[in-house]
Formats: sequence, C-alpha cells, structure tokens
Amino acid sequence: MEIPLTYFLILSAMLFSIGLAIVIVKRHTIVILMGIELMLNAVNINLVAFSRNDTMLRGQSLSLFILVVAAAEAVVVLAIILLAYKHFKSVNMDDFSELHG
Amino acid sequence: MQIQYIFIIFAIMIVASALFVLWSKNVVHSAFMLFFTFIGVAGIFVFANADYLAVAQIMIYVGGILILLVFGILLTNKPNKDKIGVTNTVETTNYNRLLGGGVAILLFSGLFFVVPRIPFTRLEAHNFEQFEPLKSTVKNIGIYLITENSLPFEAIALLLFGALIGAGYIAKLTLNEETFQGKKIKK
Repeated sequence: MEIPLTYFLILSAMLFSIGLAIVIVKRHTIVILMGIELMLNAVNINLVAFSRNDTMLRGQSLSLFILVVAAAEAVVVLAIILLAYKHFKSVNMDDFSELHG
Repeated sequence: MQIQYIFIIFAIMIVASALFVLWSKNVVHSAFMLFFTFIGVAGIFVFANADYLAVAQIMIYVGGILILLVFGILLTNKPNKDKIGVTNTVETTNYNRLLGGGVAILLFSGLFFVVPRIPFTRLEAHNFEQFEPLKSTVKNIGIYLITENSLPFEAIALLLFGALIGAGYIAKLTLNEETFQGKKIKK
C-alpha cells in the first residue's frame, strides 16, 4: 500500500506557502528564521518523496546536505542576531535600518 | 487504506502547528509549536522510506536548531523592570498581513492546481530496482556518501568548520566605542 506522490507534494506546497507567509508577515528576526526553516523542511519533504523508490538514494543524500546547511545557517544567523541585538537593543527587522560603512 | 489516514493525521499536525506559528504573536509559543512541525516532518519521512533521515531530522532540528532558537529568544529579550509580577511575553509585530497572506495563497493555489496534473511516470516503482521489504537505508546512505557524493560530503565538512569558526568569532566581537568609528553606543 503506497501513499500517492501527490499527497507529499501538496503537503510540501502548503508548508512552503506558510513559511513564505511567515517570512513576509513577521517582523521578529527569530520568527523570520523559523519561517526559513519551515521552507527548508518543505523542500526536504519534496526531495525525500521523489527519491522514495530510488535505490541509489540521490534525493535523500541531497536532503541530508540540506539538513546540514540549515543547521550551519541557523548558527550563523543567530550569532549575527545576538551581535545586532547588542548594537541596536532590538530584534525587530525595521530597527535594522542604520548602516555603518 | 489505514496508512493514508495516519499520513493525513501527520499532515494535519504539521500544517496546524505551522499555521499557529503564522497566527500567534507570542514568539515562545511559536518556538514550542515548531516542535510539532519538525516531529511531523520526521513522521512524513518514515512514510517515504527514509528512516535514517527521519532520525537525523529529529536529532538536528528538534535537538539542535529548535534549542538554538529558544536560546536566541532568551538571549535577546530584556525583562521589563517596571512591571514586577507581570508575565513577560516576547511578542512580534505583524506587518503586511494582506500582502503576505495573498502571496502565500496565490503560490499555494498555483501549486495545488498544477502539481496533481504533472505525470510523474518515471518515478513509479517499476522503473527502479525494488527495495527489499523492511530494509534500512542506513547502509546505502553510508556507501553513497563516501563514493558518489564524496565531493559534496567534503564541501559540507568545510562549510560546517567555517560556520563553527565564523559563529564563534561573530558572537564574541565586543562593541566598544572604537568599533563603530567613534560613535557612542547607547547603553
């Protein structure tokens, strides 16, 4: 008994749209990071669903690399957020409008 | 037939908790709801024959990234000293609600109408050599990581090393008066 591929794709489309809406709507930097993680998860669902029958596991390997890149990205972004918080005393995206050359 | 219902339960869990993150203004509640999304995605991976990735998803996302997000929320929150005895909530403001929702609904409806009409005939099971039933993917992933995917594997190792050093360096930068060209930093 197999689950149709379309179910995976529609679930992933839903998750990607919600992540995109979070990135557009929210102003708190960490919540924006959460939206990006949701979009990466949607991409992972797609890759895993496409390589479901593949014994070479090409999609799953790519998905594993995406997992690692997401972890590295989250670490660097949080370090930048901490530094920006020290400087601006805020984590609201709209307050990060001042540039120092 | 029952396995489809379990899939749909997982899908509802994922979408409901993701919608909660979109809806809620409380950042800490959003972080905790994200837990259910990540667990649900791990469950979906199991449905697609990816047992190793499901475990890796739980370890990396739930055990790593989510904890990191919660730490980020804790470290960037200043308690309100004027109101003692009142619960501190970390809140986010919403902005462009209509635009964001509109873009997301547009994207989703486009995908929803297009995706079921694409014939993915090359991906059907009889085009591949068959998996043995109940066989784990761990062995194959290990073999392909060091044979076919060895270059991306090394690149990922370098990326992680760079991220480790970079994050440590960025987080330890101290801001004194000299750092930003003599401009005083507001305390």
